[in-house]
Amino acid sequence: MIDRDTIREFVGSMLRRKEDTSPFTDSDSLVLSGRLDSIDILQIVMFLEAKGIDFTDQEFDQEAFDSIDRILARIELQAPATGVSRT
Amino acid sequence: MNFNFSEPMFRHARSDGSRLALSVDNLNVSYLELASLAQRTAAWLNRDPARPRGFVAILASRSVEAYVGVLGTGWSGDAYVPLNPKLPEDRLATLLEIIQPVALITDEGGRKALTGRALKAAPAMVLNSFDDLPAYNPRDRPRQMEAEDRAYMIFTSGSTGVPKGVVMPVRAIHALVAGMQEVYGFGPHDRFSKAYNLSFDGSIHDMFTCWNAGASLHPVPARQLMAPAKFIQEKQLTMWTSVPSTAVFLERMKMLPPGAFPSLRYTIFSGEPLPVRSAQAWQRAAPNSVVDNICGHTEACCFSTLERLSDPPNVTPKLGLVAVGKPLPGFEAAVFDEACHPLPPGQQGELALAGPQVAQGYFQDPERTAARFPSIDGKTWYRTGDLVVVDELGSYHHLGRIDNQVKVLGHRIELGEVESHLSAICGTDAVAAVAWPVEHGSARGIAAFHCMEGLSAQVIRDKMALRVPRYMVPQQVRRLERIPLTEQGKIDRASLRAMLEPAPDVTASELASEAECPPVAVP
Repeated sequence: MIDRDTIREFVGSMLRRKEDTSPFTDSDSLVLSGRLDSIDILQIVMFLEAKGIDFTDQEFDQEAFDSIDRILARIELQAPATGVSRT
Repeated sequence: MNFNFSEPMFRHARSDGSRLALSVDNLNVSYLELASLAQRTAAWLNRDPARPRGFVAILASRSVEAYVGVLGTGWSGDAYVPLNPKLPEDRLATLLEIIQPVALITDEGGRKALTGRALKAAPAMVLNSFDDLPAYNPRDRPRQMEAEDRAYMIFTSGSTGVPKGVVMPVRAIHALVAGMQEVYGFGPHDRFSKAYNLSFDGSIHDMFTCWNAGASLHPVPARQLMAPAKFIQEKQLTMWTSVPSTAVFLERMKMLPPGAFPSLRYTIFSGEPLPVRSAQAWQRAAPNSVVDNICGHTEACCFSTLERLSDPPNVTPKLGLVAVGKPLPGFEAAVFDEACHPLPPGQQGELALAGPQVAQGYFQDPERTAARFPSIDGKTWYRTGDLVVVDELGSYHHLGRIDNQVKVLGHRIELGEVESHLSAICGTDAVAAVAWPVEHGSARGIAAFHCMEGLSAQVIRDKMALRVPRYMVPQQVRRLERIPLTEQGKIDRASLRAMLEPAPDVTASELASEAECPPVAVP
C-alpha cells in the first residue's frame, strides 16, 4: 500500500541525505528544478517496485516524477486496481 | 576557400533549400529559411559596417533563436559566445563583463535571465525578436573568413575562480567537420540529435557536422533529456550523440530493450567515461548503429580520439570502461611526461594533442596559454591534464586526471574554482572541495568542507547557487575543525574523501552501487 505520506517521507529522506533541507509542497518541482537527479529517480522507482508497482515503462519523462502529486498520479496510472490510497 | 562555419549551410540553402535543416519547438525550418534568418541576423549585426569583428553573446538554448544566432554570427564574420540562460545573475554578469560582446542575442529564457547586474553588463545591441531584423537580401553571402579568424569562445571552469574562455579559430571547426565526415560519411537523409547544451562544446559536432552534410538537426526538449527513448523513435533519428549517462539511465529504467532504435546508424558517447555494460546495452538496442566512444576537450574543438565498440570490446582493465581509442583523422596524440617528452606505449603520462583542432588559447591569459599550449619543435601541443596510457594496439586508455579537475554530469569543474567561491562565502581560505561520490570515473556531485562556526550547510549552498552553475553547488557540506593537509602543505583530498565513505544510509548506498550509474540531471 503506497500513500502520499510514504512518498513524501521517502523523497524527504533523499533530499535530507543531500543536505537539501528546503521545504517542498506536493506540487513543487523536484526534478526539473534540479533537486533530484537521475540516481534519485532510480531510487524512487526501485522503492516503488519493491512495493509492487511495475515500472516497465516507455512513457517516462522528467515531468512524470517532478513532484509528489505527479508521482502519485503515475502510480495510480500503473496500478489503478491495487488499492492505492488517494489520501 | 571560405572557412566561415555558416558557409556549408549556405551552400545547401542554394542547392536544395527546401530540405529540412532544423526541427525545434514544433517548427520545421528549411535550409533556405535558416539561411534567410542567418543573413538577416548578420545584416542586423552589421548595421555599422565599419565595426571591427567582435564577440556576439548567445543567451539562448534549444530554440530557433539560439541556432539562428550562432549561424548569423558566423555569417557576419563575428565569433559567438554561448551562455546558458540558467546561469545565476552574478555569474552571467561577470561573463558579460569579461566578454564585452558587440551584441547579445536572446530567446525567451535568455530574456528572463537578463536582470539586475547582468542587464547592466549587457551591450547596447540586444536582439529580442526576429521582427527587429532587416529584410532578407538574397544576394548576400557569408563573410569571407580566414583560417585563424575566431569562430567561438566557450567558457570552462577556471581554477582561480574566474571561468576561462577558450578561443577557437574557424579552421578548427573546419578540421573537426572534415574528420567526422571522413569517418562517418553523413548525408542529407541523416537526422541528428542535439542533446548537448549550446554552451557545451559537444554541440559543435551536433550543429556543424550536421549542416555540413545537409542533414537535419533535432534538439531534444529539456524535459526529455533524461530519458529520450521516445524522442529517438518518434524523430527516427539516425545519429545520436550524448553523455554516456543517458544510456546508463535508460538501461536501468528498462527503456533500452533490444531493437528499440532501429533508425539509429551512428551513436557517439562523449563527455564522460563509458561503462562497457552500457555501451553493449545500447548496441543491442540499436543493432543498425555503430557505437563510438569519443574523448574530447574544449581546447581541442570537441572530439579528439575515437574507439568503436567491438566484439569483444577494448576495455580499460579494472575500470570496466571502453577505451578512448585513436586520434581522429588530421589529429596527432602523444603521451607526455612532466617535461613534455613523449613516452612509449605502456607508460602512463599526460595526453597531449596537436593539429588544426587545437585552440588559440585562453582569452586574455597569455601565461596560462603558454603553460597549456607549449610549442615543441615548431608544433603547438595542447596538454590535456588527462592521465592516459597507450595499449599494444595503439589505443588510448583514460585513467584519470593529473590535476584537480573533475567531471560532474559531464561538466568540467576545477575544484579550485569551487574552493575560491567557498572561500569568499566563508571569509576564510580554510575550505576544500572534492568530487563525491565517484562511480566509473564520473562524479555525482561536489562535497564541500569548511571550518566556520555558525554557518549552516543550507546557507552555504544557497549562496553558492547565486554564484555558480547548479552542478557546482555542493551536495554535501561538512564542518571540520581543520582542513587536512599533505606533507607538501596541499589539501589532502584523499583524507577528505575517506571521511565521506561509507554513505550514511546503507540502503541508499546499496541501491546506488547496484545502479552503477553516474547521474543525469536537467542541465
